Amino acid sequence: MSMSDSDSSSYAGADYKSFKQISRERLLHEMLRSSKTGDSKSTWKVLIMDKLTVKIMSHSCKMTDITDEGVSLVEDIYKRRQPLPTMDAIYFIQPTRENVIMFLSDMSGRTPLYRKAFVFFSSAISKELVMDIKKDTKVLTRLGALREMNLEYFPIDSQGFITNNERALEELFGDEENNHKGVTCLNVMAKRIATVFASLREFPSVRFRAAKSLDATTMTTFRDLIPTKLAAGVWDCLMKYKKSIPNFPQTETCELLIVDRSIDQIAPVIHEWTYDAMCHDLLNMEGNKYVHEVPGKSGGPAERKEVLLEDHDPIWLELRHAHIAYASEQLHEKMTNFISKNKAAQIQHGSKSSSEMSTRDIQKMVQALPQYSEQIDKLSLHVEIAGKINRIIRESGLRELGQLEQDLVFGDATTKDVIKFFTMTEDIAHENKLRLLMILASVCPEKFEGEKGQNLMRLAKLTEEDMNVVHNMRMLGGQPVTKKKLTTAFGLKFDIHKKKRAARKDRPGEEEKWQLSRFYPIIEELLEKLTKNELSKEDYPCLNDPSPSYHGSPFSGPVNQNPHSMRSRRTPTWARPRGSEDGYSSDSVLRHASSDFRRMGQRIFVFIVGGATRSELRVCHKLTEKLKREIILGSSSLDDPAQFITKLKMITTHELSLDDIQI
Amino acid sequence: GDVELGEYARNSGDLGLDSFFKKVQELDKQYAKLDKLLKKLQDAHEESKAVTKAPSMKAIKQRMEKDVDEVKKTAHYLKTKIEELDKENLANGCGKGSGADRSRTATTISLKKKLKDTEFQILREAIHQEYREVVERRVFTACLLDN
Repeated sequence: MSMSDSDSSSYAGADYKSFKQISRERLLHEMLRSSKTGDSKSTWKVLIMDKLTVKIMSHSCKMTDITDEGVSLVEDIYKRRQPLPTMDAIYFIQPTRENVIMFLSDMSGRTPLYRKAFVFFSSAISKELVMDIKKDTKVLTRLGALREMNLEYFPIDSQGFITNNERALEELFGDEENNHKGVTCLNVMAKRIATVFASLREFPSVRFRAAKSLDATTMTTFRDLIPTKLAAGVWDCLMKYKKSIPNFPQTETCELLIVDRSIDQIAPVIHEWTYDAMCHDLLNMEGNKYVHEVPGKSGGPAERKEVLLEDHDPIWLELRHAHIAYASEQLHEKMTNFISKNKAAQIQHGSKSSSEMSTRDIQKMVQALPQYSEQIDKLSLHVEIAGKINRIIRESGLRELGQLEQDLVFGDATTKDVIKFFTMTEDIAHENKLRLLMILASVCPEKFEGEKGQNLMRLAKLTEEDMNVVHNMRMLGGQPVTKKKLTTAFGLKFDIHKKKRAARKDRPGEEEKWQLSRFYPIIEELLEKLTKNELSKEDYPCLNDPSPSYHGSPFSGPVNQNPHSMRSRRTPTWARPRGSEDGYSSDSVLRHASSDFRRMGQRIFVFIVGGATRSELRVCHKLTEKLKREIILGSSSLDDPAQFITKLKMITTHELSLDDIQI
Repeated sequence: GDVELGEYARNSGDLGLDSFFKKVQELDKQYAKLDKLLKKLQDAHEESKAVTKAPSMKAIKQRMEKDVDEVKKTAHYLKTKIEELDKENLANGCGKGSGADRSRTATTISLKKKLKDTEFQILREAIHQEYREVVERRVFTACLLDN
């Protein structure tokens, strides 16, 4: 039986919808379902999109969802299209001049391609383009809608989105001689971030990381001002929404924190030991797609089968943020439970001889068979994946490497330990050496200056290109040369006292349940401080301090629901985790999510310029449960370690060439 | 303009697509009918759980049998019609990959998927029916022994 209807009804009853659900419903219901004319003979429609809007749509909906809303044909606006004059058309396009020209050529003249056109722009359109459309009286009579959809972001998770600025790291943190690309990139990013708030009808209080080098002796760099400029851009868009969007809130309803990759250069490269991160890091996945081989039918050759590890898979949804060790344990337990309970599985696994099967047993088996094949496929898939990951961990000596990584971060290991590791350990994967050195470069940047750094990298046998990656990490450090000298002196003092150099502090309140789970991204610290009002105003200023009514407003949720003491916190009854026994049922998962959200406080949005990590996404889910506020992570992109390293290579700097001259 | 548009529509290959969608519309009505019947069966099934008197049970059984027959008939009709659409799509003069062709394909796939979902419900209902008959026979046997 299809669960989709009950899923929908489950959500329909909830008064609070998740970020992803809102995006999906806006596209399917507001845009596709509502595009009808009263006298329409045929309810089937054509949907016309451009390259970006196709991606936006596919991040939220499947083709069957679109077909269910009466769209029988999806077209690319730039390809030659067959005229279908008896059908209505829905245009979901970016508000560019080229798109408007294409639309006008479709619908103007004596023989338009379609009967009526319902036009939805993904973001704000300029007045002059609107005038161009209104000039054509023939087109006007054929317009069923002309609206700004204000949805130009890509939901990648129930609590995450990206703006698809894949080259942000290169354009914003690279060569300072030419800011044009950087400025354009920021403008696009700001516009897309703003459409998130338009879609959710939320008006944020905007905070951002302040530029660090504000003294007169040093010129402020463009990359230092990235969060500041982005915050201003978002703000401009929000001010326009206040006037143009009906029912857009006039006072603050949530919080937005804008930071960039410079706050944390370790999270993108350190090994993250959760199931989700391990899948994307160790298996050669393409996006969320995993390719595996299943035995062919009746002993034929093996077939390659593609599966998507996404929210529709309840096992994935439950285990993705769990430590790989825990996930492996759970999968084993689930398989055991499943075999003992499902009728078809019992018979399949020979718990009864066939001669003893009664009519009743046959009926139960037939009833359970569809569930059996569906669930055994899913369980087998995940058991296989977990097994593969564990094998890779063993074969590449990842536990020792991971331990050293975490020790470096927490100050329990030094450069000497790294040198020792390189000389004593054989067959370290090339990429892992690079990642280890990148962590070291982040914790102790002065170790990589001059000849010392060169020797260290030669010991690891890095290529010139890889050395470039390590050098380029300075572009994310956000520290000017003058401060480096101060840092060096400071470091020397500490060296004399032999104190630890740590990028993270151990947290007494958090118990380390599994090995190699000490690490946490900086964003976790920032978010906790934000919710306790302990985030420094100097380091993270606010564009719009909340108005006096902010705290006392009866229409907004409670501002701060956090417990006073983190250590003595008791878990409320409703928040206790449910038994995983029902984990097979996606309906159960959705009901769980829906009931949790009903008691949520105000939303928190955090946007990271230059790419986010899966560990950061995990933290947002974790803190959502802990703080009882939905935390949504946005970024220019979501990068796996390999992707981050590739992008870092692309950064070109003049400083590097200066170093070349010195050498 | 409307007259011209009408003439243009008649002259284009779109005419075939228009009749295609009319057929789809007819099938959508049959689907609605099927959903209604399945709902009735579900309700009757719930009702039968609360009934103890033989005459009432008999009446429910008769209604359910009638509805099950109707469901089977409708489902078979839908399956036949969808297969016809498939053949028609193949025979259709539109070039492969053209707008009309893709439109036909997407819509037909959507109808098939719907039927697949419905088929499972029908199977489940039939099994319930069968199970009920087994119980009846056993009760009858027990009564005979008592007498």
